[in-house]
Amino acid sequence: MERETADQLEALHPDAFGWALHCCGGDHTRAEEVLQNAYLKAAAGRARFSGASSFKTWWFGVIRFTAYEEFRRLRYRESLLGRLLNQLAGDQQDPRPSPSRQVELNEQTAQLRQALAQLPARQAEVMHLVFYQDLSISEAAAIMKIGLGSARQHYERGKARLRSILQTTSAHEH
Amino acid sequence: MSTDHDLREHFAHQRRSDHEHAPAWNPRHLELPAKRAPWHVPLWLPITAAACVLLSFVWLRDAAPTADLTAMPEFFTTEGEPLFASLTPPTPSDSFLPIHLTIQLP
Repeated sequence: MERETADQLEALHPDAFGWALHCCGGDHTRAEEVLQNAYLKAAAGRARFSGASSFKTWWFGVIRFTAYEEFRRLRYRESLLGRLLNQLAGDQQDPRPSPSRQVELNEQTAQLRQALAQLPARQAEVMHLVFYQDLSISEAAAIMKIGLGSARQHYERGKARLRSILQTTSAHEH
Repeated sequence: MSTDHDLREHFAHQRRSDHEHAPAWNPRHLELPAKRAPWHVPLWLPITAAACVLLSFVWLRDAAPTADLTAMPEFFTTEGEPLFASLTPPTPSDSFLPIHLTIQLP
C-alpha cells in the first residue's frame, strides 16, 4: 500500500472508528471488527481509491459497506444455527453496550446514541455524517449512495425528529 | 447553521467520548495476514512410493509358487493334417457363375 494512503487512513482512524461504531449500532467489538476488515480490504487492494470523491467519502463508503456485509453475515448465521442455539440456551444477544461499557459512556453520549437509534437508519446516518463527521450533505449522500435531494430530506426530517427526541428525554429527566 | 448549535454540541461530545475509547492506531492494521505457505508434495515422495509399489509387486510375483509346466497336460496337439483336408473336394461354389468367378479351394 502507498505511504500516502496509509497516512490518510491513520489520520482518519479515530473518526473512522466513530463511523464504524455508528454503523454497528454502538457495538464496540463489532465496530473494531468492521474497521479491521475494511483495513484489510484496503491493504489487499480490494478497495481502491479512484479519486472520484474525497478520500474520506470513499473510505467511509468502504466502512459502511463492510458493516453492511458484516451485518448480513451475522444475520445469516443467526438465522440458521445461532438463533436455534440461543433459543435453546434461553439467552438473547443484546446489541446495546454491556453494562460496564454503559457506565463508561457518559450520560450525554448514551442519550444521543439512544435518540439516534429511534430515528430511521437513513436519518440517523445523515445526522452522524453531518454533525459528527462534519461532512456536507452532498458528501453524506455520496457515502450513503443516495441522491442529494433524498439526503436533504433525511437531513431535515432527522434533525427535527432528533431534536424532539432529545428535548423529550431531557424533559423527562428534569 | 447557528440554530443547530445544540445538536452539534451533542455530537461533539459523543465524538470526544468515542475518540477516547477508540482503539489506538496500529500500522499492523494494514498488514495482510501471513498466508500459509501452500503445501508442496516433495519430489522424493511419489518416487519412493512408486519404487515401493514396484518392489512389492516384484517380490510378490517372485514369492508366488510357480507351476511345473511339465506336469501340465498337453492341451493343443496337432495331428499334422494338411490345411482344408477335411473339406469336400473342390466344386464350383455356384454352378451358375462363370468359371473365372468361382472359388477354387486347393
